[in-house]
Amino acid sequence: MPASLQHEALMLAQPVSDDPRGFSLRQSLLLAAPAVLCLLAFFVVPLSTLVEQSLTSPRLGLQNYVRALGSDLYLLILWRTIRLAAIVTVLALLLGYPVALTMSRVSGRVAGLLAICVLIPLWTAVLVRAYAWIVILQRQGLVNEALLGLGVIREPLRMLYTEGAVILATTHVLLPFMILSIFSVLRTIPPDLDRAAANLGASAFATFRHVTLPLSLPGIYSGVLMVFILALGFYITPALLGGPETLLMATLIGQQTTETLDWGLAGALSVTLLVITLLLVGLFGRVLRLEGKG
Amino acid sequence: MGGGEPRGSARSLEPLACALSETAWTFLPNRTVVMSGSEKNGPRTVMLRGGAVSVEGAKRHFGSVKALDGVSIEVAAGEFLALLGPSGSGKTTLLMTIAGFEMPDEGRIIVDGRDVTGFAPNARNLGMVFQRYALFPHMNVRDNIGFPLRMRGIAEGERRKRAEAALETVGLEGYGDRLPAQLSGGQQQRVALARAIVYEPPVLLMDEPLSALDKNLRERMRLEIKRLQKQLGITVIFVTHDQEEALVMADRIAVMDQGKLVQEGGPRALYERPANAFVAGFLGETNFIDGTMEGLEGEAGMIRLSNGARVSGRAPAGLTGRARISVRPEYIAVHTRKPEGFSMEVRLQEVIFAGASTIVLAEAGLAEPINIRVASSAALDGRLPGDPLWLTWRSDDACLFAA
Repeated sequence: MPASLQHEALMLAQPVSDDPRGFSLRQSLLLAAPAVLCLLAFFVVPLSTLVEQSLTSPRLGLQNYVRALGSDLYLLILWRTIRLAAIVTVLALLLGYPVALTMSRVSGRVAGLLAICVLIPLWTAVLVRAYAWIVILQRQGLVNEALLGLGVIREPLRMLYTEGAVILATTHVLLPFMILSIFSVLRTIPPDLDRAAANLGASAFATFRHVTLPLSLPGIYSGVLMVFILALGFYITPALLGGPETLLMATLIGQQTTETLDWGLAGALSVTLLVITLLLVGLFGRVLRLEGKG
Repeated sequence: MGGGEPRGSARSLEPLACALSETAWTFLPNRTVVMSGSEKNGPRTVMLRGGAVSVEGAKRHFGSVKALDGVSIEVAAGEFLALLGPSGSGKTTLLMTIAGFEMPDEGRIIVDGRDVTGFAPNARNLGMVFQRYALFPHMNVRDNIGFPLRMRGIAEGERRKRAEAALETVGLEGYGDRLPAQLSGGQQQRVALARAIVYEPPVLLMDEPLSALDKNLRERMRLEIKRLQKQLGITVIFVTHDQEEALVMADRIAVMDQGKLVQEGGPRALYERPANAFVAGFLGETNFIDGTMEGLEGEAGMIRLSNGARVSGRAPAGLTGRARISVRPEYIAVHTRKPEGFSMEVRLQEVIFAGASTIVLAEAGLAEPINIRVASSAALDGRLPGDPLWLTWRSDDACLFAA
């Protein structure tokens, strides 16, 4: 399309903004440069090295990928990682949506209180939260003590170092991302739409199903995508709260780089995880576009 | 939903749409529209029954603010009532209370003979057009209009038919597949209207529905909504802060101020016989001049203004002492020679051409110049600022209030 190219060339030649106080394109590029350089130095270069190592260490070839994808154990860990990420995502959605909905409906002091409840965990270090869960879930932890004290159980339950603990703690860490994604969309829905639906005869549930839910889908998509991707690569929480039977991809890759020093395998596993993540992102983008058209 | 009335194809809007286009039709007293003309099966009737609304002693306060301070009003079936008032007067709160979005602290709301005070909004079966239309942005026009029908369990095929008929009623045939964002403001307004009448509610509530439109479109929509209301026979309660809108559209106007109903009546009655200075000032333009009462004879009162002039107007019984006279600009006659009888001598200040009429500002030694509207300023041709003029008005056209 030469016409549109010409148009773009014109756009590039002119200051991007008509606002006299706005930045020209050159100034904008200059302002973006530090971030771009950082990305290049600390992300693109290491990533290239990783890919290179996965293909060349200890010698040129695909042997690292054959090992990574040919091993039942590694495939099991990969599957477990995806499964856990999916469970965490669904839980975060189910727990987060009502919170986001409430946040979008209340105002004043209650809204502020809710926002603080959501944000404070987000501002707390992941490590701190993991240790907090250890305190709560361990054999002599708060939960076991309470249940023993109440006489509900006779023997302490094994909760720490289980899949359940990993799911619980990961959901806890990632929940704010889901809530904030959905909230940011819900707050843009005019309150008049709810009133209109009610006036037209819709029950509270029908209003939610036919109006609120469809209009909040973009927030659900972005929240689900963000939580799922973050959960796929989650490291500290599963490493601290999980046991051998809950070994996940990130922990596995960590072991290769720090314990067995098998950089080639670590690279192959990383690239596999990255490709799967990108595939899922692409798939989501497709669904989103289709949804947008429909 | 809670409507309690059988709904069926007989109540479809489809024949109505034809009626609105060309077919001859008449109203019967019970608001049955009888059609004659191109119908194959002979005349068909569509029951369109407007419902009466009555608000009894509604009170509602937010903190220390009394949004509704004991409002009672009756709206007859098929009547077009405008709730007029400045912002914060309680008119929107009253509408929201009728719609069920606000619960009154005291008082009752009766719609169509049913006490709906405790009813949820979705159980009231009232039509409503919101200020910003509140169309569902993710649904096309057809689904928007079909929404209330869907909520009433009406099947898809019937929904389509009735939505299309409602679109025809508002003059938007063939727009069913568009999304609200693809429509202009005026078109969105019509869709909102179609959606509010497609389920044939007895009462239609409108919350400043024209305020988002530009002036020309607003003036056209006024007449169109008015025409549609008469044709459908539906009861309309219309909130507005625009006095001209209220005058043009309403059968009856209820003026509200500070949570209270100040005066209600026909547009002319309110314009010509305002009950107090607030109504006189809010409804239309007027000149307020302060003075002291000099005499009262029946309805006619005489007031001495601060410039010494003695003028007359209609006064409430027993008015004495400090008072204020209100004279509308178009009720004042301008003379270039001193007429017989009472007149007020002034000096010409400025003549401003305003299209359909001309504004004459006259200096009378008062706090503000007197504002006069004349159809033509031909009589003032050649007069210069400072030249003397004499003003007169019929005593009946001016109103005296306690100051």
